[in-house]
Amino acid sequence: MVGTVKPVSRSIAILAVDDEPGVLALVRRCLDDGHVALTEASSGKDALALIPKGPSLDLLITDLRMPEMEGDELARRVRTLAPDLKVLYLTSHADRLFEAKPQLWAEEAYLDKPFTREGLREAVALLLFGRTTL
Amino acid sequence: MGAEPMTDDDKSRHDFKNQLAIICGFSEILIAEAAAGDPRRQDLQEIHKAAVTALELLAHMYPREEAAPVNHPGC
Repeated sequence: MVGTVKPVSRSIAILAVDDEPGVLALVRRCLDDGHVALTEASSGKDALALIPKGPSLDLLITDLRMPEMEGDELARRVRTLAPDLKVLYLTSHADRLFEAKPQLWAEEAYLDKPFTREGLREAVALLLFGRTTL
Repeated sequence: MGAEPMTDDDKSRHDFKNQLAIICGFSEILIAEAAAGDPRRQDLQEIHKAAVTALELLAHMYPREEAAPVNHPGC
């Protein structure tokens, strides 16, 4: 586990998972606006350990390619605990995502790396609220 | 899962691209936050430009694997 940022009351609860600390730091910087309660994990295993302990999640943001457990497998396992959870995959190669998952669920989306702050915020807003701003 | 396992080469490329994504992302944020007259703004733009160029070079080195265009207006 990497840590928890801003336990804000009545905020959007997001779990971000990436084995690269710099990417997690960038996600934190992009979303850190007082409306997001961001929890971070550096592996799928750590993420799964956090799920039962934390508040109910609105969104899982996960790297697709991680050692030990890949992002799509993490999402599958998380859904056994939180079936309605929405998932945003961060991927360097969308084609590899579609090799693993020929079709995304309605509650899933992907964002290519590199991403901009506005790009990430828009992807999160679209997935959660169907609008382009958080 | 359906995707083939990553080769060492895939992993190196993935990790390298991750680092460039971090440089791109943070420099883009800092440029957006820099005041118009801030002399560091141009320095940040040079960092950002170098990262974008490196991404383009990566795509040139691996044309098949990096087939998707580098198309990040803010990055």
